[in-house]
Amino acid sequence: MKKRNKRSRPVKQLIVLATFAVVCAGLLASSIGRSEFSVPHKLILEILGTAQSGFSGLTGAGGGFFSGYVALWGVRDENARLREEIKKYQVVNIKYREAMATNVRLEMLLGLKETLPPPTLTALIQGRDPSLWFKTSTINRGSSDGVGKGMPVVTVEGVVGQVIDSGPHYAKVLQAIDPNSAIEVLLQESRIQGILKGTGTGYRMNYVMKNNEVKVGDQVVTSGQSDVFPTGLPVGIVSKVNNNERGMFLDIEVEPAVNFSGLEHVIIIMKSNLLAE
Amino acid sequence: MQTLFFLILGSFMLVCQTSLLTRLPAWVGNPDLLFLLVVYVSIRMPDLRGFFLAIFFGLLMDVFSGLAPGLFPFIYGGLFLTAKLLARRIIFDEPTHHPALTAFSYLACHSIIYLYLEFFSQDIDLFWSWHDLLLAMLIQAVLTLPLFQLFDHLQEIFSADGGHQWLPRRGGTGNRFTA
Repeated sequence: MKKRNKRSRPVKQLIVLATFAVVCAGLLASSIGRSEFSVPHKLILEILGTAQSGFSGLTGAGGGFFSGYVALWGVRDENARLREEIKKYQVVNIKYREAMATNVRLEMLLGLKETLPPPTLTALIQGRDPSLWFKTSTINRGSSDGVGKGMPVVTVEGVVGQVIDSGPHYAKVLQAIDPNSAIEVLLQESRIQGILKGTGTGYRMNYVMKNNEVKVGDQVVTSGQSDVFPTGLPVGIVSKVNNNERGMFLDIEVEPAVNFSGLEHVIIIMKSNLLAE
Repeated sequence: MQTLFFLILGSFMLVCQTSLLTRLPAWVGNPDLLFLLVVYVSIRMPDLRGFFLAIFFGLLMDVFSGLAPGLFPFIYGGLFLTAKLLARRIIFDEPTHHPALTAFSYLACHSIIYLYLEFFSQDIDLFWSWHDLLLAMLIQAVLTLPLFQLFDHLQEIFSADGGHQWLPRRGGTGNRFTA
């Protein structure tokens, strides 16, 4: 029995080898001369491809996560740096815009200054009257600069007012729209004269006879008769004309040429013959 | 110490309201912080010191506002006496009444200025604007409680004795209906 077993083992081995050789030969025979995969190739490809795909996914995800994490270190720093830079450039941009706006205003003031009788002095509005009834401003020029009571204050757009008080370095200006203010004016086209009084928000032109023709849109300028303001400075535009039944004068409303709420730079005309004297 | 503190605070507030707050849009109005401080001083300060502060604030206001010096010390002095009288004698002794007291005082002060200028300055054409006045009264009333709280807090901090001995305090249980 033992002998038989010893004889049958080589036979079996031989059969296995032969079968393996036939399969290999079959596979070789089926692959040679073909341009596409056979069924066995496809089967192997499917199995190994699936495994490959799994591994690739794992390594890809791991590698991507790692490389992404490493990259974030730099992004965080870069983000902070860029934010700082944006802030810096925003400030620079604001300063640049402000400087441009100031430059434009000063250029216009300079142009006006050359047309005004010398000497003149530029000043900056420091503060404004907080009360409801009065319209005054504080400027950063005072008696040490030669500023005195009664000196006219103007800007590019037109008449601002007059200095009513001054300290060594600051002065108080009565705005032309204050109810206490009165300026001698004329209508630029028709040369009709009148007295312009402030109403708090605008002007009212008084003492214009009803037989005069006044139109909405007429330019109102200083007449120069009181010798306070130079002749021809713009003051405002006629916005409304009421012909009242009573009285002999027209009721004329004038819109200011100057935007009093946005005043910044003004020019003081340093006149020697002051109104106050 | 408290008087000096209020002098400095009043000056600071006047500078704020004449420079920073005037740049606010027109529809927001222009809060009168110094006026609120005068009302606060009228309610909380002793008579003599309070009156001195009110007059001093009036002098400060004269520098930045108006034409004729002396108008605002007169107005603020009158305001101090009126507000103190109202706060003591009538109903304005509760914090919730303070906005009404401020608004009423504001209206009274501006009415007096208007009447004074109308009767004594014939050349001036003043235009009464209910819109502006009511807006200003509303702003003053809205700001009253937070600013009074702030003033209370600041005066506690700057008080020399570390307390608020002259603040009015309610005695007893706090129930006004108990005897």
